[in-house]
Order: sequence, then structure tokens, then C-alpha cells
Amino acid sequence: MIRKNNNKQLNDILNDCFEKIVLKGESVESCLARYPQYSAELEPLLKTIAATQEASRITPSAEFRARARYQFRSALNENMTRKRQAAFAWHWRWATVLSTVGVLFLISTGSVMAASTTSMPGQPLYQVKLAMEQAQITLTPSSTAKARLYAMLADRRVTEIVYAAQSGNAELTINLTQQFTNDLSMVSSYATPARSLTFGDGSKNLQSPSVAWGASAPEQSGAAANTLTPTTTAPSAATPPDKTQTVTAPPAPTPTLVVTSPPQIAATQAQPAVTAPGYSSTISDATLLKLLQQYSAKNIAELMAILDKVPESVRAAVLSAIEAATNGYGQILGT
Amino acid sequence: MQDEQSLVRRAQQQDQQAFAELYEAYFDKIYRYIALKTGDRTEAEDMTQQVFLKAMKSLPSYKWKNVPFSAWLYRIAHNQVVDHFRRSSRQPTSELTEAITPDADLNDNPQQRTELKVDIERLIVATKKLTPAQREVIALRFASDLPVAEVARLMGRSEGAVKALQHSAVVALRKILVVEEYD
Repeated sequence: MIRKNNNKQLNDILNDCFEKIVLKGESVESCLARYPQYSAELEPLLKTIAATQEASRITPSAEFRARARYQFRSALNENMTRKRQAAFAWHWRWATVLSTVGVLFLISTGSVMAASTTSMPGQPLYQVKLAMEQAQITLTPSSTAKARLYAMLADRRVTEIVYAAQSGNAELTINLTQQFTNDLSMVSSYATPARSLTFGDGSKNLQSPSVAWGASAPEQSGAAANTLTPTTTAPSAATPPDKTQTVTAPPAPTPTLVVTSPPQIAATQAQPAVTAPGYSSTISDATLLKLLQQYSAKNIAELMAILDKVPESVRAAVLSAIEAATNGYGQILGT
Repeated sequence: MQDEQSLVRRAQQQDQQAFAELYEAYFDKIYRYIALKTGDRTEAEDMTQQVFLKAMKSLPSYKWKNVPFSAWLYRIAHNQVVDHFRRSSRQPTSELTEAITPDADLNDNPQQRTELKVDIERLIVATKKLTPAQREVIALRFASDLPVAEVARLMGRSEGAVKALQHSAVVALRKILVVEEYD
């Protein structure tokens, strides 16, 4: 027991001296002076510790140190880059999800439509553009607004016709011209209150002023409208009316003729007369009329301007587009 | 060197400079520890590099509260040496295959360097004659600044057992070195 305690005590003393010599740099002699009663046993051990400490001062060669440092720094850089890329990839995945949600949100709010309005046939957003146009038509409540919308769409088609023609795509130019014509027909259908004239029976129309005024006529479908005549079926947004069925008010005999409204409802529902110098239109919406005048001048001029610049192969198609624009706007505006 | 705990935390947050400082602080010590255990310069170099690469990869999962960084690093080094010898199916060499360079501070005096080199060789040869546990405690106590408590934790022993092992290792070394000297 005493021997065991002595050994433990010596272990502690040796450890104390070890730490003082190796870690704190004390001399063997100073440690021996601290434990004089153990100096005989300690001295050879402490000298061994001191000698071992000297011998164990092993250091890597300068060449290895430099090489290892370079390789470690390279590995560290690579590791950091990989982690950053991983973090970026993680962010990118979230960004994709958020972008998708954002696009859906934008679509729902109409912002993508705004972004897609400048897209051209064949471009990624063009189908979005067409889809949004259809949605816009469906969601537009009044005939007046629908007429303005179709006027704007017709204007867009002309821009696309110019693009297609300049691209040398005759087929696309022809198709777009057809769409342009349909859009103008729709303008006429929704904007011309005199369309009831073609019903042939004014009295019936007067019985249904709302139909006669066109405020709700295009939306009205079913029995009431159909009982009048097959041609009274309101044009749907998705299916433009056959041009042969399009109701177009005949040009007024005088340039100042404006709106033909039923006398019974004139007092309460008469629209402001529109007088446009040089025009004899049945359109009651002054804003739309002004818009169409601007579009007409601009679009015909644009089509004329490219006639000599487009490839020969699409020239005929451009001429057809010019003709369609001249006739279409002319009929609506009464020029 | 800045507060080590702060450096480790920064290194864990991808601070390259902090990791570089830790590397510089421990590179020589880890090399010394491995060289003392293997007695081979080339192996010590290879394994030292491996230790720091493993530390770099494992640092994110390191938690300071469990064990000091130095003890954690020596644990990696210990495992590296054990794995190395397990793979090569051999024990540490009993002869220096390549001379190990003594401390650069002592290189100024050619005479001293020659004497020290002999001492290194003798020490390496002597440590091969110790038991694995004695060799481990000698390597850890002379190569690291770890307190006996951390050495005890690394070796999975009590502090008292480590002190006793240290005592027996020094006695054994003394005997081996004295016998060699007389030989």
C-alpha cells in the first residue's frame, strides 16, 4: 500500500517535472531542487525526458512544408468553392420554385401579358400572348371595351404582319392578315350600334333596347337573340363571326352622320354624337373612333413602308395586308 | 494566434484565413507526433497531409464543447496512423527509412545538428521497443501540448493511468538508450 502510494506520488511528481521541463522550459536542476527527497530517483528520468525532448524536436523539411501548404490551400479553395456551389445550387432550386410561383402569380395578374405583348410569332412568349389575349377578351365585360380591345389586337396583328413579312415568311403574313381582318370584324360587331339595322326589323330591336344598343348584345346568347334572326347570334370571343354575317353599318350619306339610335330610348341612352371630319362612322364611342383613326393611319403607313423592302416572295402577301387594312378600317370608319 | 475557439468557429463558417491559421499552428506538431509513431519521414509527410484534409472535411461536424480542437486533431492523427498500419499490415518501422530533419532552430551548429540527428535516430529506434501504449504516450506527451487530462481522454484511460504509463515509458526509454549507449 505504501509502495503503491509512493509510486502514485512519484508518478505525479514526474508528471509535474515533465510539464515544467517540456512545456515550460524549466531545467532539470530546478525540478530536482523542488523535490530534493526524490532527486536520486528523479534525476536519470528527468535527464531522459530532457534528452527525449531535444531529440523529438522533429520538424518537416522546408520543401515538404511548402508543398503541403500549397496542396492544403488548394484543397481548401476547392472545398470552399464546392460548398459555395452547393449552396448556390440549393438557392437556385429555391429560386426556380419561387420563379415558377412568381410566373404563375404574374400570369394571374396580367403582368406576363404585358411582358409578352411585344413577342412575335415563333418566339417563346407568343403563345402566352395569344392566350392572354383570349383571356382578356373573355374577361372584358362590355361591348365597348371589347371593341376597343379588338382594335388594339388588330393593331398588334399589323405589327406582327410587318415582322413576318420582313422575315420573308409569306404564309405567316397571310395567316396574320386573316387574323387582322377577323379582329377588325369583331371591332365592327361590338362597336356598331347600327348593326341592328341588318336585322331588317327595327321594331323587334326596339323591343329590346339593350340588344339594339349593343351594350350586352354580344354576350347575349340563346333564345332571345336567336328568335330575332340567326344573324343576331352574338359573336363569341373565341369564334369570330363569319365575315358574311358581320353587321356593318352602311356609310352614312353625310360625313356628319353619327349614330342611329332608336328614338324611344334616345332620351335616356343616347350616346354622345361623334363627329369626325372626313369620317362617316356609325361608331358611338369617341375614344374607339379616335383610336381606330390613329391605328388606321399608322398601320396602313407601316405596311406601305415595308412593301418595297420585303423579299419578293412576300410582297403579294403584304399587298393583301394593305388591302385588308384599307378596306377594314375604311368600312369601320366610313371613309 | 487568435483565440483558438474563435478561429475554429470562423473556420467552420468557411473562413479560409482562420483555417489556414489553425493549419500553421498545428502542422509541425502533428507531423512530429506521426513521425515519432512511424519513424518514417515519407509516411509522416503523407499522413500529416491526410490528417489536415480529413480535418478540413470533418470540421463542420466538430463541436467544441465535447473536446478541445487540439485533442480532436490528434484523434484524427492517431486514427490515421492506426489505419495506415492496418492497411499496410505492418507495425511502425524499427529503422528510419529516411532521415528526419531536426528542428530548424538547431541547424545553425553543424556539430549540434549531427549529434541531434543521432539522438533522433536513437530515439526513434528506442520508441519502437516500447509497448504501443508507452509509444503512444511518449508521442503525445512530447509532440503535443495537450495536458495529461486530454491525453488520458484520447487514450481512453484515467489520468492516473496515463501518469503511470508515462513513468514506465520514461524508465523503459532510459534503459533502452543507456544500453544502446554502452553497446
